[in-house]
Amino acid sequence: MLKIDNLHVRVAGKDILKGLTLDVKAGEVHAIMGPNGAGKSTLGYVLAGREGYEVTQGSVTFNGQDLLAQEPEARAATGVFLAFQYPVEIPGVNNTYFLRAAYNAQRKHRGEPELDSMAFLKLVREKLKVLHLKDELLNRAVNEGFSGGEKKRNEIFQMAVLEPALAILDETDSGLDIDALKLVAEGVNRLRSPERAFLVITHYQRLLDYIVPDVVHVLADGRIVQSGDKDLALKLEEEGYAWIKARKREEQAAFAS
Amino acid sequence: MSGLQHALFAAAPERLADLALPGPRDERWRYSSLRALNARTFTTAPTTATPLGDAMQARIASLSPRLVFVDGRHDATLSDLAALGDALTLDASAPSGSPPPHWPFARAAAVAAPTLALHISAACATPIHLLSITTAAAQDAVVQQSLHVELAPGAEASIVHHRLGESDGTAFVNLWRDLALADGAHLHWLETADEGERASVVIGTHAVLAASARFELAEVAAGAALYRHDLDATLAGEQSELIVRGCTMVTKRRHADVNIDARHRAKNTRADIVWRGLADQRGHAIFAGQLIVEEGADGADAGLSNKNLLLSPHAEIDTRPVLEIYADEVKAAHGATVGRLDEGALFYLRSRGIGESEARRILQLAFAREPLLQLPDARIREFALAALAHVLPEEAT
Repeated sequence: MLKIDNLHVRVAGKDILKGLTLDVKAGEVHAIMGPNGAGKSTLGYVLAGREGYEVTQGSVTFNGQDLLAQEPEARAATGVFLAFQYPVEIPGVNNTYFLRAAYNAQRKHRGEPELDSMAFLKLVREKLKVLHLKDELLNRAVNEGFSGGEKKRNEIFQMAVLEPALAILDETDSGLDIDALKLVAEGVNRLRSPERAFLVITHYQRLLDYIVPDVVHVLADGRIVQSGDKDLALKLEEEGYAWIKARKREEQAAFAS
Repeated sequence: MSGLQHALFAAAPERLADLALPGPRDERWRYSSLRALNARTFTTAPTTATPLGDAMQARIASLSPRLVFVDGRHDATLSDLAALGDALTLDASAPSGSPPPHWPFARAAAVAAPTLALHISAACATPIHLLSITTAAAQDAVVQQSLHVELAPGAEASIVHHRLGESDGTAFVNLWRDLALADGAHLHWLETADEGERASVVIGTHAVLAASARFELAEVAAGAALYRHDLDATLAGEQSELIVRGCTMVTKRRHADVNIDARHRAKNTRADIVWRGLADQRGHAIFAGQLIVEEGADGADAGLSNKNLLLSPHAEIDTRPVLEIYADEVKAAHGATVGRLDEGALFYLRSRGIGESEARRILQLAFAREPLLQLPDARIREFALAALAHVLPEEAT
């Protein structure tokens, strides 16, 4: 589904991703772990199409199509969703209005009929119920005055409504207490399906107790330096990222000799 | 005499002999140059009735109760005030109020146009639509209107003013209105417009509020070749209140210049002004707000906020918030900002599938409507939001 090949990305003149390669198949959950500054958030932003992220080398295809050539809204319509680490507050824009505009813009882009407000309201109410969210969420301005936990849950709610093929969760666990974390994880687990893939970016292993990944990758210094099953996350938790750095030094030493 | 000045003062040149139009050195007109207007030739408005097109007729019929002016002249046959009963009476032979001496346009209108007085004696249940229509017959003409609105003690009215013009109209529309609110009277006034970008419009709104009177002005200003609205409100009675909620949204080469003077003259008066401005393409939005707390007006509460978004490198925004305080016990706050559209918010919307131009529109609309959402009168609020939606239309689907 998602193929990233030798991706190099520069931000503000600085090389952040330096040859990242990743292959995610439909139905899989991949976790990307790594120390601060490794390029985790850059990966999320570059996949979603944020400006200021310059791809200097490599390619990204999504279901066989060149993802990097598309505008952010086109990527969303083909099924890419980024749950933001810091969801943006948009005063004056009603959450329901925003979601319906997004939902219908995606459908229109795909040549599907748009939903009227009644049908859409029915859909969002169902999703709210499944995620144990309150109705009042619908009438508030997008993320305005939301607590950290509310913002993250609003991201998961948007994901549930938009039903993307690939969901990228950028540190969705940061700033959440254990109850909020469980709710967010439950929301994600409900959406797991053979047609859908997840890229779960996280600093801590904790989230992966609740969202169990098929593959765990360690991202360090702009590249994937290690991949494994869920036990790799546990090992990282135990030994810390210093272990990766030490291992890298060993490798370099071996290469030099 | 310039063509414009000549046409403005044609009715009574001898009474306006001391009048001069603002020049380039007039600080109050610094950002609104009359040079292009002074270079043109204007006629006076047609004095015979001009038949209206079907679209305009239908539009008029959809608004009721209504008071209609065509090319500056009151048209009783098009008006329909039956629903108001005797809460509203008209007087076509009333003398004009006196415009402030530094308002040459208002002074010209007060002399040149017959004044129509509205006496509001009770609470009017429904909004009154005031229509000022400029027809094709007024092309390159000066259209002047003089209005006096008087609210009796405790009376209450909502007036929605619609300025309607031809999309390619080139008239110079000069509107003067004098509002007098007696003790405890409430007036809500919404100023909206649907006029072309080649029109020129100057409005002078002068309001005097007696004790516990409340005047709420709401406006959606889309600008014109030249658009200038001066509001001068005097809080003359104790506990009187002025509330202003407006937004300017200018595109193309439109220009909109809004000047507000609020004078606290009595004790415990309140002025609360919130205005937002957006300028795109080559638009020019100007806002000047002056809060003056006179000596002895203790307990005054004066607030002014003007936030702006500059949407294009070719657009211009000028803002000037001013506080002048001569009393001791005063609560006052004022602030102005000019910024750009939040790129982070734009990306957030686009990452959800909303196209770039629609995402921009959503963010602009959200910014512009914020003050209008605070309007306490639900009907006025609805008309204001509809007027804004007209200025920032949804993408054709």
